[in-house]
Amino acid sequence: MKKSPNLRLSVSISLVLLLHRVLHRFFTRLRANLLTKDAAPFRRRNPRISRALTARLAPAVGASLAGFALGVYPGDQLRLTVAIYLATRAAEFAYNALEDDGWFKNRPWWFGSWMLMPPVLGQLFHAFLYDRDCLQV
Amino acid sequence: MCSSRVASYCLNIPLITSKDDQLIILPTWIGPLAMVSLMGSPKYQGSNTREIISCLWSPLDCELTFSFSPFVSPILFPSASQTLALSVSHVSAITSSAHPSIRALSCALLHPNEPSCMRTYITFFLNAVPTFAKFFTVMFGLFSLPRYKLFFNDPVKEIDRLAKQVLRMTMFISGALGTSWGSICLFQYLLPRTFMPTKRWFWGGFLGGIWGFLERKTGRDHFLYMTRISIDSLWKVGVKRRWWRSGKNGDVWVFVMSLMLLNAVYELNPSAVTSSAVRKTLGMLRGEGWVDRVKTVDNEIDDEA
Repeated sequence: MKKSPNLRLSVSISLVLLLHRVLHRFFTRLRANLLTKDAAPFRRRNPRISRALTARLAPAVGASLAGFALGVYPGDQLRLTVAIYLATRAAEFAYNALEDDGWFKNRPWWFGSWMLMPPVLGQLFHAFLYDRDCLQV
Repeated sequence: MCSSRVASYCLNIPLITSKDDQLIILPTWIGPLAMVSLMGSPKYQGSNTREIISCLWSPLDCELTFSFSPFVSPILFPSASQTLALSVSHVSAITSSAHPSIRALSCALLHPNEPSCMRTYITFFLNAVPTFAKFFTVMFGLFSLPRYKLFFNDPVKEIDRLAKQVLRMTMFISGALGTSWGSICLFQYLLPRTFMPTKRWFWGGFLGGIWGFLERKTGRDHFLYMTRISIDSLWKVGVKRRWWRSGKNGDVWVFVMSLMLLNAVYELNPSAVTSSAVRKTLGMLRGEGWVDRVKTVDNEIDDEA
């Protein structure tokens, strides 16, 4: 298994999918069971743990632990690309959520994602001249 | 083999959102080399272009300040035995016939036939804008083919929208390229030789990036794509220059944290996840199937159709 990156890729993706669904179902059912009347003594005895496990986001966060299955795939360019892609997408959607909640109500008219471009192009230009081997051209 | 192909596919993937045919183009950073060849000098179309450029500005191969040194034209001073330093002597093919009134060596390399930097800058725009406009017309035209019904219903408005999209993108790309490379000449003119010799390239690209203002309303996907390329190269530059150590499984931790953030956002505010494909993938990951929990305008239209 260690020698074949293709096999490790399929195993990794399938494990992420499987573990995510299993963990999501587990944490959802655990949360539902902890919120019943019969579980009140447990909730009384362990307030902090039950608060953590019955939180609204508990299944979402707990299921994300399945992401560690990405480690099955060897650490090369693909893993880096996937991690960067997901990080930027998650940041973009978090920004959208904050915007919907009104956190950026008073921003100036010229504020926007275009402001990413100057530092990005500056870094790319500098890397093009000095660190060509670090660019995927 | 498979991983590098998949990785390049990830970088090249065009994104078509459901509300607008915005797409990710620019599969490779061809810009600077395209700019150099667009300058029009036939000498640049050789295979040693990269070596010339990397030699001039790389502190590893030659002394950096050579690129800022004054240009001594062999035409004006034929009896001078050596007008170029030895380590950059292989660029003499370009500089020996450069216009004698050019003041600086980097200008002699970039625009040997044109003594004025400003005229070179303007000529670049005159060459680049039609070229990119044609390219983007074909590209955006092809990507708006699935929406042909809108063209039949209201052709004037659709063609106007398409034309504006093409023009905005053309000006952004040509402006960014032209300004980044023109800033070499600009800083040569404005700044003393020893001031920020390496950092000025970053600020040159910074000036070029300001052209992104033109695309501020519609360009978020493009900007994020370039940001991803930049983060990737910045990480590798940092590892190479020992700013940070290359950890073993750092990307897995980043993946897990991002997945947590994504799941949390989807849980609290599903419509903040603006990509229908991502919503459906999250639905798959949660065992709900390939369904979209959020009803947007396009989903409703699809349902009615």
